[in-house]
Amino acid sequence: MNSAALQALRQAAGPDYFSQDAGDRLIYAGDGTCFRYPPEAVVRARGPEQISRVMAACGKYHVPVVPRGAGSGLTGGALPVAGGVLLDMAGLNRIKAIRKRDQVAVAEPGVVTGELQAAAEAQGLFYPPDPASAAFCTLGGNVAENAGGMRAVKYGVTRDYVLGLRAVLPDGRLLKTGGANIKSVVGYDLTRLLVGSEGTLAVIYEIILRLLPLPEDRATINAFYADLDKAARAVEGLLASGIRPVACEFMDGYCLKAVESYAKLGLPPAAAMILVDLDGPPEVVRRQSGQVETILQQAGGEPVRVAGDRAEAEGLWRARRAMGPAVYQHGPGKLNEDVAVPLGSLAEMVRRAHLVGEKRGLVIPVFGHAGDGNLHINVMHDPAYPEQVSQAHQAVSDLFAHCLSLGGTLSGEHGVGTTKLGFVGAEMDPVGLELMRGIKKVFDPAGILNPHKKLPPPEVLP
Amino acid sequence: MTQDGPGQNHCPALRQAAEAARACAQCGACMAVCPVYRVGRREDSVARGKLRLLRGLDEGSLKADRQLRQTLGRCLLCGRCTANCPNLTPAREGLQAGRAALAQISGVPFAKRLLLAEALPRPSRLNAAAAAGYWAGKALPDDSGLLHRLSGLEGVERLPPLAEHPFLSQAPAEVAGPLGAPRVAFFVGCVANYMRPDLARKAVALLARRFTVVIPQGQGCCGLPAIAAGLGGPARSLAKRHLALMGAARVDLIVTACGSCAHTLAKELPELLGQAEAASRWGLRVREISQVLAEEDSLLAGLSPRPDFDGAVAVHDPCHLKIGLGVSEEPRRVLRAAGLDLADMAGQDQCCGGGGLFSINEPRLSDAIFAPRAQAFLQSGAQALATSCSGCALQWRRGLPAHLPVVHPLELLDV
Repeated sequence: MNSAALQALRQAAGPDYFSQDAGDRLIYAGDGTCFRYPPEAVVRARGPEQISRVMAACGKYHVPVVPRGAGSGLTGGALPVAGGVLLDMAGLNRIKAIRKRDQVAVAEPGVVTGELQAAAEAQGLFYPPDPASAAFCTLGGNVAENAGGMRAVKYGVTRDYVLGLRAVLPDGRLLKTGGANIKSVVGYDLTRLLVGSEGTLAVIYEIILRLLPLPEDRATINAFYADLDKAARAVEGLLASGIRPVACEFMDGYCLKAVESYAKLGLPPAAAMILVDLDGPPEVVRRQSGQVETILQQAGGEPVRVAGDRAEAEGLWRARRAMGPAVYQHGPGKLNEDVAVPLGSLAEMVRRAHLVGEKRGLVIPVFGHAGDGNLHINVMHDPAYPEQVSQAHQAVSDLFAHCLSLGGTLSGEHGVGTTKLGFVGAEMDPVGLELMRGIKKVFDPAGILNPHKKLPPPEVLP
Repeated sequence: MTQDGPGQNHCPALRQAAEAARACAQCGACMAVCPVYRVGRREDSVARGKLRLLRGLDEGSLKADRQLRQTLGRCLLCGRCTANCPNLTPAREGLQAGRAALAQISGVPFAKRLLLAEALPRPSRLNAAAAAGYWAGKALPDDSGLLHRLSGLEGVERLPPLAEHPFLSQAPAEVAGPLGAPRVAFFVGCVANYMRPDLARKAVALLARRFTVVIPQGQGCCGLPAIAAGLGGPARSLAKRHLALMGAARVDLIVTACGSCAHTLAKELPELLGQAEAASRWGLRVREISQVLAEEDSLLAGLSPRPDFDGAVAVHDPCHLKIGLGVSEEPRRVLRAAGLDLADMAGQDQCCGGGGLFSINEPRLSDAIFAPRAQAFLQSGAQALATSCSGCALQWRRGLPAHLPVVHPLELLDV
């Protein structure tokens, strides 16, 4: 970035919102991954007009811009890999309105997901998307990555709640998509195009979200299985029963062992655990939890536990919540993949992941959202040993091949970012990819917005 | 050590900080709990960002300059980052070590630099202090943390004036308890000694119902302000002095009426003295007075409320007590045992923003962190705010209107 560009950017951002400080550049070089790419400057977003000026200046001087929310992403979506400007959106954190009559919320992108959930709940409303990082990730990041989470089985993902967006295009123009309408078929659905675009098409500065009535009651049930097939049958039986659980989580034997050694919860030794959450009116929840208990037992669950109250439910969830840190019991390094497969292939995918682990001499614990086929596959290794690192990367490659051969997708909710860029060409339809490149060109002809993300460069196409 | 450049990674404090930084998986979970991050939403105010800076310092890509000192000063050392880290990163400990490293590398004590560079050149802050008479006239020993805490601040005029005679200047060496009673030492702490001698007197009187209370002369500041300022040397000499004094007193417990002092004595002192066995055992014997009262049914049974106080009490949990020592039910038990009503206060275990030098160096952030606390108190309907930490008490006193009492739980008891 030359001095004219810096000058223009400083002026566009406002001097108080612009920094080239070495510390800021270091801090904003990273996100939830282990990679670091220092930006050349950091701009703290102040509002649409300022963002528009910044984008125009970046366009003029061909400076890359990377928007960043909480920097908690797991695929490098917020890494300034090409340098340029890091646009910190975390300070735009107002919930502008919760409109009870319309059942919508209007929020800025820096609002933390958990804060919106709490604010909605205070008015008897419900924002269902619940990524594991809800306590610190931001809505802007959730929308950009189309975040999923634990409640996707019944309630879907972020995409299903975004009704409208306000965004700045790379040339500085302000864009409005959608509104507060639950139904709208006027024009192409640009809202959904921006959701999950990983900050490559526009900088979102306002989000209109759909809210639901807060469920009256909840129930939690868990079950342990001596083998994987029984657990898979339990999930199939549950999903076929006509009951829509809020969550249907799965943990394999490696995970259970790791959690037990980390958190000492007194879990029974097992090859799999299934955890089910239900919600609805109390009488329905009561009836359904009885049904779920029977289904889990008939599939061979031993023991099966139904939580008597919220405290007990939290107890049952503890094993699942401890999973993130506990997995390091199997090794200090982790390659964290989040493939999704059609529901019928769930057990097969888990089996193949374990086989890949055996072949590569690594432990590969698998847990995830069984109810929607989204599995978190953790390739554990010790980065101190180059041979293990190499085996781990090859294991990921094997896993992706298995996933695609089962008709799956390489990422259910983490996004492509930079970490999956080398693989997604294998999944994408070539015609579709051509259209996507065209779309990127229409939004961002100069290619300045979050470059080298989401879409594979031509040379890695199969 | 005052060297710069490549030698700096031989500095043990920096090595400790860098180790913590490397243990950080950068997930961002500390953002959910950091009081400073929550009001400013700046990555450099949260442990993840600060640890990254310290790693930069260790790797040589950052300099130990004024800006880095300021950034590291923007931390309350409340410990929420460590307590909530999914990967068990010793974040708070790393940040504290980082301050010590900065003080050593730059050869300028962190606190002194902050006070000299930040507080003193601003006449508005100094005037307020001078008006309240804190810097003038009253002599405090050089190693008292109070010196650092009482520079000019908004609301300083609401703080209690310095006592005519510090508690220790008039305290007996020993107050005999019932025949054959176990011996405990009373650690006074700066605020009780210089500003709230009545609190110290009450604490000793209560303890003497069950124990023989030794009040070692020569005790001083617990050392927290020095530790927070990165001044390892002075903190260590205080620690050694207290270890010797308390050892000579031959007591079963060391009791204080301040959560921050208790935490410093119990947790920081053994750390400072290199985990020497004696020091570690010493740490196990430290109690905040509410713990002692709540553990002793005979003491609880004899409690009654101060006759001139009527109404409900809201209790604020000091971070050092709740997060640092796992104590939160005890002060409430004491108040309830005395027959007092406790008011529900939203966010009663959230940080008040008063930690250490923070309110002096970052008055705006400190006020922003405190604002929701004040609001919650006013909505709770309570007639008094009780908190078992002198730092929190000063912050609440500065922040609440003067007619609302801010007390240690003991001060609501009839003794």
